[in-house]
Amino acid sequence: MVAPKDEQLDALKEIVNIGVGKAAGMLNDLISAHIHLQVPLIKVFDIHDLGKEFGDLVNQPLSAVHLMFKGSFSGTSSLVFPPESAVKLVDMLIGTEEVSEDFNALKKGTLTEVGNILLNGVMGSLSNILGKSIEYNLPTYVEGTIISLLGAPDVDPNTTVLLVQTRFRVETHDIVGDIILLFEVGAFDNLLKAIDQAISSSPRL
Amino acid sequence: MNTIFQVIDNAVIIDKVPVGILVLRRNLIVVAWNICLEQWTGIKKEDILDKELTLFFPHIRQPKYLDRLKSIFDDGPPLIFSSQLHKYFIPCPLPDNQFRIQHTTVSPVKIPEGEILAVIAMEDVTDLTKRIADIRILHKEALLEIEERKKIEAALKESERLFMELSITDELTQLYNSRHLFSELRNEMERSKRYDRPLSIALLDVDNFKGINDYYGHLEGDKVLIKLAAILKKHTRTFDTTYRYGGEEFIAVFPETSLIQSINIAERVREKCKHLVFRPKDMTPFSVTISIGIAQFDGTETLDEFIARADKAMYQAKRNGKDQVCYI
Repeated sequence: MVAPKDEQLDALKEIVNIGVGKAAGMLNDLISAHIHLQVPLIKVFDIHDLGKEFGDLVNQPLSAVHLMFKGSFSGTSSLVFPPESAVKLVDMLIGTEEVSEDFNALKKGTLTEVGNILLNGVMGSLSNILGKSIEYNLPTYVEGTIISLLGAPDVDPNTTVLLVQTRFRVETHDIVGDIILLFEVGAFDNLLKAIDQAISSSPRL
Repeated sequence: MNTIFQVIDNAVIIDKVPVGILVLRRNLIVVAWNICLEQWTGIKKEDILDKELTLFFPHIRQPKYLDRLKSIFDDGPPLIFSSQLHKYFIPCPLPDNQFRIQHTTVSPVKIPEGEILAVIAMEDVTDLTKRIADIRILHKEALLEIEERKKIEAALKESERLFMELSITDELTQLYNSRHLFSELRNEMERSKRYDRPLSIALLDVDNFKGINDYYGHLEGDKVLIKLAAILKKHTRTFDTTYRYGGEEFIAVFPETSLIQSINIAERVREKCKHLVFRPKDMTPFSVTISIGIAQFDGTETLDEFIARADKAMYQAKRNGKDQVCYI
């Protein structure tokens, strides 16, 4: 992995910030409650450090929305919720969680849409600002531990992980979610190159 | 990549699926509308094709739809409009005046001309949603019932409490209880003052009662109290009143009665109690004695002071060796 330079990381922060900000606006429109989204932390590390980075969350069941992308840089972006946050979010959006297969289907649909909005914000911002075209699959919803969700055995050990920790605040609710971008081998380098180009050509960054 | 005509020609396929499918160009012109949607909406292909979708469905102009749709045409990722956050993307009335609940996905499809089309697919999840609504109603009803029961239980407890408060009888001995003593004695004291008539009380305490309880057990102790209470009632006069004052303490109120007269009554009770024999099963028979303190109302003291004097006399009887009557 090529370690990103400070200015590249700063640019990345801003790109993610813009994307998440846009997504927050859309979520506000959708849910008639004010949603505050922060981007407090961005981290880049190798996939084999995933367990270390997630500490206590490693063995917890998580809810995740995946959006796979292909193009100038390929990989998967995911929105990962710890269980309490997923429960709180579903509770806030569609009412108290019940244990039934039918309800799970609705929960899945709702969380997928929230993930869809947030991930689209970030990915849209990446592709717009960097001027690179990206193709996407439909988002999918899965539940499992962080290792089973992201560190599947067939993932290349050289995969680079970009971790964006976002904290949602929905009025009195404290709902936390992490946006995680996995870049396939070489893709993260392409991303850094594109950032360099954008920095040199755009007065904005 | 597909040409625009190929995408539209795919109508052959999209007409065969039980999913509502429509395809939009950037200006929201409808370029495909499948049979499923015809059936759901009653709008024919020939009427809607090449027209702007918002002419038929103005709600799509709201930012929550339009802003996100725009992102598709700007090469953005696919969109999900979930059934819980939107109910439906295209309103399709059902016979019961409800609308089909839809889970909608929007995917971009690029054609060689560089144009991006939005392929919108609507899955009908009405049955699923209804099943969940039914479960919710049942759940709510169950909760309401529990709430109702709790209320009834609380009301029952309250009325029990009220009953206890209003009750004037001691449950074990069937004498009056101490609450009743206070109100009755107060009345008697008033009467005694007003008509200047004598009034006396006796405070009775079972000797060594703790030892009896410990040795023979509480059930036997209770039997002793019941029997003694019966004797007390039987050997006082009809206008006297008798009360269980505390654990093993009783009080008798003697209206129109002087100290001397009350000592006589008390002595009679003491004798009767003493000759009573208790025969607990498989244990040695036993008898009990009582110590009695007498006081005559002095016309000025308070209720507490009056009772305290009788109590003091009773303790004097204990100190003197129990099984006797003392007075102050």
